[in-house]
Amino acid sequence: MGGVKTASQAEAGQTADQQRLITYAEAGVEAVREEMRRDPSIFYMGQGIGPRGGNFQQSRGLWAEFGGERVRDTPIAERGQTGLGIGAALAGSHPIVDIVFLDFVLEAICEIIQQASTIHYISDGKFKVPVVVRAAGGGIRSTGPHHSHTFYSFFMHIPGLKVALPSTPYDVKGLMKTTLRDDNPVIFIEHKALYNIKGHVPEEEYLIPFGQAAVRKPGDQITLVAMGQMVHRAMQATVRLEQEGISVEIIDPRTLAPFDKDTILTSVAKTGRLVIVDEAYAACGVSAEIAATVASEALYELDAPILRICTLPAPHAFSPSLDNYLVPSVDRIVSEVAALVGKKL
Amino acid sequence: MKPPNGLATSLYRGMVEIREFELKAKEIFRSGKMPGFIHVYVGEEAIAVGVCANLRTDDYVASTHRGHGHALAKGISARSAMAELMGAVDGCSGGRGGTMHLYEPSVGFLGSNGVVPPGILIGAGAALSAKVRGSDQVAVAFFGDGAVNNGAFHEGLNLAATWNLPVLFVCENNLYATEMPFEQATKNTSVASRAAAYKIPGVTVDGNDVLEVYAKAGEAVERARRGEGPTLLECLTYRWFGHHEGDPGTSYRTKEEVAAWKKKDPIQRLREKAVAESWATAGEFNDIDNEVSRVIQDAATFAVGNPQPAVNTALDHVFSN
Amino acid sequence: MSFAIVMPQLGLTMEEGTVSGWLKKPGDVVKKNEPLFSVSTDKVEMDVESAVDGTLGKIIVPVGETVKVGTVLAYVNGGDGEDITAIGSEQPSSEDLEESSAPQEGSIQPTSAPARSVVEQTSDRARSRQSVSPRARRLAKELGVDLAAVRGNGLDGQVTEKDIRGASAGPRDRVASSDGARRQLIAERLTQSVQTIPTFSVAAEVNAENFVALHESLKQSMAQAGGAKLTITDLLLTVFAQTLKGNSELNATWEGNAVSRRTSVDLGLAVATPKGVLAPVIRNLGSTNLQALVARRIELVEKARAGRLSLADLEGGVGTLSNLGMYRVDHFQAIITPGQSSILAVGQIRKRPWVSETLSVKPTVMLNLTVDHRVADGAIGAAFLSKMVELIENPQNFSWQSTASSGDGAGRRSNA
Repeated sequence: MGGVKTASQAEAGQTADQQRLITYAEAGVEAVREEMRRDPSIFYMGQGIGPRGGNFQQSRGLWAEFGGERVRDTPIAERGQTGLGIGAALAGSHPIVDIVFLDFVLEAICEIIQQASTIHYISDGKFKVPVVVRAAGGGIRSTGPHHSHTFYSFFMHIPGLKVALPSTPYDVKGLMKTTLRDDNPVIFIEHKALYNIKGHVPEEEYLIPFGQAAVRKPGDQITLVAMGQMVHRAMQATVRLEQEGISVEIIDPRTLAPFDKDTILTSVAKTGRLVIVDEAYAACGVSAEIAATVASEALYELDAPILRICTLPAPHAFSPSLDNYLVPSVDRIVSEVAALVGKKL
Repeated sequence: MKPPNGLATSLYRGMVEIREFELKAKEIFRSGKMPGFIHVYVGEEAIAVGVCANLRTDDYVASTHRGHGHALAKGISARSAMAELMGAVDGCSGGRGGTMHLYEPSVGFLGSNGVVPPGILIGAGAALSAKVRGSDQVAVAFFGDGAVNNGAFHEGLNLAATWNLPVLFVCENNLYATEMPFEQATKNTSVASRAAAYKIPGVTVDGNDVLEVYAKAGEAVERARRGEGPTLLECLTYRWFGHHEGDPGTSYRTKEEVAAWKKKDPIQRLREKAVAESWATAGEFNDIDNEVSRVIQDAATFAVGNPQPAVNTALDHVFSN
Repeated sequence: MSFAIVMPQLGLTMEEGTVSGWLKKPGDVVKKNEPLFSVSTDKVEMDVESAVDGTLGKIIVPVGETVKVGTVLAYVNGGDGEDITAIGSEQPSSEDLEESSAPQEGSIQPTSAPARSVVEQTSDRARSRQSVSPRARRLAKELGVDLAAVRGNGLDGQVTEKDIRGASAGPRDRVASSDGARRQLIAERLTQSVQTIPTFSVAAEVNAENFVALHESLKQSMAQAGGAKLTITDLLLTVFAQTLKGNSELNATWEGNAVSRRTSVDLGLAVATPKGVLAPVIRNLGSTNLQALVARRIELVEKARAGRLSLADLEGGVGTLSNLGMYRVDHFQAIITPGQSSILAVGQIRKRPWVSETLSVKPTVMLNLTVDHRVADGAIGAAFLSKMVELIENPQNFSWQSTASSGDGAGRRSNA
């Protein structure tokens, strides 16, 4: 399949009895805890992340270990929290601002884009802004129109911000540790439907660099790029597609900024076909950015039009029937990918 | 009461430096050589100087769009600031920030700001960092009357009060937010009274009396440094000129009002009082005037002659390392 | 309480249907069992009754739209349901549209007409261009393939990589038109065969008296039935195929490092053409009746002589029949086609001395079967040849015009 090591091969680097299975949420907590022990400048604030341990248990045990100065609950004031986090970062701290539900990052977006993303540049490199904005995006079980968004395209759009989008427990830990050692503002977006999934996470310390995609599954007929929860749906879809003789290579970018386009370009040169599965909307989304990049840098490798499978352009409906229809389902992925090679499934 | 030796002259010098700097900046701007648009601090010098005279070098200041005064008072050199206004390479922000984005970590200057209330949050955030680190540094967040009706004011003050942060919130109430008179922007025209909503001390001072500002700010800084939390300091003042260069400032203000406030010039008031009380002589003040004049002229010559940053650095510093 | 009116399942295989008429308007009273709308499918056109009493609400699927079975078409509201007609229609009426697009006094008028024709021209031009994927276009350039000669088999007839690779030159794959190229191809393949396939041959002289008689009678009856001309070759192909059908050892080829057995019988027929010998493959001989075989043989021979055979036509056979009986050749040995495991060489049918108990004169024919020794050993080859001999000498045991489903051909049902 070529020299690319799949993420699972990297993850499976340990012997069987060294591999632990922990949840996505636990992996995040571990990363934060280890880094907070290592670096006293890191502190954590957000709604409900103190004694409660976070709405998704994403900060469980941290308050008990580090106390209320370093792990502090905030009132409902996302702009205030984030603005203070940025100020603290300028003064030498490394705060994690937990927005909890990604939808509410909009309350803080002025601070993130106008202040956090610009200050290092406009101060001529004199000030660093090591602030982490952490939140869970995506829908699960009808979280509805105000709690289901996947806002990451506008962060990817802005120079000066790094954006991480882990889809497995292994990735959460590795990327969070890298995040907390990075001097730049990082938007760390988890997926609320993935908090309880389990995955292999080594005991030993490891970091995952930004800008390194993971090949989740090798294939040679179609390149499929997916993010967050969609990685898992794509994996399920390929089980069915493989049965029909359709070989799909699944690539998970893991970080949107910096973005690993080379892995995708190499894959498209092999397969000639590109599908992007994104839970966000298609218009001006990450899928559009990937499509444009491939069309401009690998046009002569394309043997078929680029296909984008995204949430249909409507607010996130509450009713499960509508919700499941709007957001890309495994069935929709199967049938649209199959149609790309002329099969009806 | 006699101020400590040398305080009057040092406060005077600070104010004159700002005054001369701003007038010189206006002159360069009008000559067409200065890019962007500037918001000058003329008339409000007592506040920046009176507050910052209480601060250590390692204390923090977060400023506004009208921030040249804060920058100079906190210790950024005139040369460095003027070059920045020109967008030149030796400006404190390398020419990348300009008038509204002066940055200087070596003196704790966390930036003037093109957006209205974020300075409140940035200042409070720096105070939060100090507290978590267990340091006795304090932070000052400057803002105008235009900021107090914004959500960030509320969120910032509430968080600072709840967490007992070592920050001084200084409102430079010059009665107008661009062209909006304060009394038309809010029913409650007392900024200091808002402090009660957060259960922190709220103090109103004559923003054109540098000694009063110095004293009250000093109390608040000490309170913060002792760990007793934030204070809201409302300084009543007035800007002589329009909101920004190009705005005459008379379409929403009367000439009589402007003239009346000019008579309360903070620099003149200090000088007259100091001479009257024999804290210093006229000669000393004249020397200061001349010295500052030379410094500012030197800064202007330096800045106007300073080159622009090379274009091959345009993509530097988007990210750190 | 709203009741959903859905596209009904009007037949076991129905997957979608078209609303061909609404018999009520929104706001009308609807009674249970009263016809409410009509549906048309590829098989049927019928009215559908309402299952409830109530008032018809907003119509979601209008006349003329085709939707999947189970799709909601409209709602019927219970007696105390809300008045849905109060909700304004979403589509502006066509009159509204015309009004609003009428140009203002003295403004943009002049440019509106030319703009439309520019767009049309562009799309005309686009339509006449062949749809070729960027990858295919690049490959065509690299491989020197003429796009105009390539047929697209991708989505919507687009020319894709696969089509270019299929059409591109490669010495083994080309059905080229130049003599030199063809000879080179034949030379390469035969050399490869001789160098890589270990062979043995078995031969027999066969009494063809009965076989010739069979040919005469079948030829006549088929001609009378309006069929094409039956030849000895056709009958020989049938013999070869039927024997393969009942003999799995030789219905196999050597692939990779093992014997690979087959389920169908596909045989090549050597055809001499002006540009060299070609052996197009007739497929599925085990289930082809004589009529069909003749037709197929004629078609392929014509294609071969006209140089119109495709790669697919030449690949996949398990063995080949080479009949040189039209020449004064008694017997000969042929070379196995690479990828196959046997070749049957047939000489001329001539009157020759024949000894059974006494000496007589019979028409005989010499068969020579060359076999890939990796696939079968001598005894297998010999037994196979013997079976063919038996079939030729005693053709009455086989029903020639229908397909036989087993080797012995005795009274079995045909699979046609």
